[in-house]
Amino acid sequence: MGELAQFAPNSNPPLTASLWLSIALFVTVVNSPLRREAVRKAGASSTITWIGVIALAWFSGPLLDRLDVSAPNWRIATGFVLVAAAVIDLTGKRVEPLLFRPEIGALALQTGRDHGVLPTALAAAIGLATLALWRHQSKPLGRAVALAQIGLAVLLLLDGVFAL
Amino acid sequence: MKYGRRLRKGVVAWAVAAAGVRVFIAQPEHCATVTDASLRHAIDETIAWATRTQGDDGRWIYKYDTVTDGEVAGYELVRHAGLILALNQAGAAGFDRALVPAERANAYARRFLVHRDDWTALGNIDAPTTPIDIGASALWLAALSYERSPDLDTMRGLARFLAVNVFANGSVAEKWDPATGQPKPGEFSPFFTGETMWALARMHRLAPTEGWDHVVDRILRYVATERDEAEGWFPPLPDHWVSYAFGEITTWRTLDRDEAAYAVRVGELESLQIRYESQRTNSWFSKLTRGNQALGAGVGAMTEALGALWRASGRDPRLRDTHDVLGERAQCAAAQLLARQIDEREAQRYVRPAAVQGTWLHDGKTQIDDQQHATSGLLAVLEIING
Repeated sequence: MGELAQFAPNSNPPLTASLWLSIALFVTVVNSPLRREAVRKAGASSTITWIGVIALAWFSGPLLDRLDVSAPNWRIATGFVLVAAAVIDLTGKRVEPLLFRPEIGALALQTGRDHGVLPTALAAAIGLATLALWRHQSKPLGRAVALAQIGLAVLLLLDGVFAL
Repeated sequence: MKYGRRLRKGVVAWAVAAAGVRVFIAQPEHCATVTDASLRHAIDETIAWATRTQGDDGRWIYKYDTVTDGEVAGYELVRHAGLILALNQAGAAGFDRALVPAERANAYARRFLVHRDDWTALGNIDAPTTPIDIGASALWLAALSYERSPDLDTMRGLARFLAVNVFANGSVAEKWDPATGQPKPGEFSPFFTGETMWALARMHRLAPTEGWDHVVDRILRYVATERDEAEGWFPPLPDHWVSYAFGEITTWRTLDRDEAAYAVRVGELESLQIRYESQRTNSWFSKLTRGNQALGAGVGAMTEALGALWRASGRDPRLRDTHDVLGERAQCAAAQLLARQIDEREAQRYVRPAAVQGTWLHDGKTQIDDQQHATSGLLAVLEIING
């Protein structure tokens, strides 16, 4: 993690949320146990999603500056979006087959702003790789992952609230 | 689902999510750039207000109501001392015109000095036999410390009074009781503890061999490790006076881990407040989603705290990583003050323009500590942008 940190614009605690948290959130946002079959049937592309994440991470600094949103406040916003998305995954009748969804976009901007492009690319790659590595569709496990996402998103939100 | 329909659905989801986030959660933080000229102008305007509205006896209009064009009853010496402090800080920063109203206000304050044993206190206006607020003496001591030729004898008397009111565990009494001749136990002010610590730290800067730092250290240990819980403050106090104290303490020693952690926590609380406050515009929608803009005193105190912590973080190795972001947040806070100060054109809308030009209004009223905290905050940011 120390080696990756050198590529980040600002990765010193207490100024940023942990990169491990972002990695975990990319895994939960992809939610392979819940979404794998739907993604496969729809032919959604992990590669295009990954490229989209990198693009957002690249522009995260200028974009958030242009929108006059500080990094901690964007962390709060991302936390809310991730909680909402997890609630939809928990309660929705249909599984959303799209990979490049707003919550992954919010997370890409947050991770990019806090840690830089390369760590974001790595975190997203780990999350998207679970689609290939986790081969069993399981709604109960998918719901458990969504619940975990709520907990992790609240941590991210609180990190943004109590940040400098 | 067909690709085209899925794509449209995705675009709609993105648009709705982006709009919702922008409108309700990630509202813009209005942090305009502040300049040396804009800060100096704002400070000059407050000094002009303090000069214009000061009575012959050295008092100001404590709280002015623009609706009734009247003075709201009451006058507290702690805030009188606070405004002297801001004016003396301005004088020390080269704003010489601040010294005239400050000296007249000093003369008024000296009418209420209480001498007992070996100490001196700033007593009460209305009822000399009632318990004495510690805060008035603390702020006046801090104010005197900024004078070009400080009255060290009076300052020592005030410092001894403050020291008498610091308990063995480092907590600070809110009042000293003339009936018992003791500090009143079990009653604490959210402000006086930090004010006392800071005032004694200023005393130590001017008299470094007299041991005032030991009292400061005792108070800081208490504040950093147990105060909020012991005194029942929830949420924890974003204590800007303690921030000031950090700015002084770091001139003579480094902070230990608990003290540095506490300084960072205060910075985080102040940052949270200013990141939220900077989203408020007082439009109907902003009031609905973010509430009314805070008092000038409130935003001023945030600015003071961030400025003082910036100062401390420039010296202390444990805080160094926070230096740049504290500077940014302090400048954002100052931007709120600059945007909200009543200028000459806006003042003409009121019955008595001279009473409001240079002030910060809230619900049509301004109180002297609005100008006190705002001026002190702006002075701190002047230091930041000038390196």
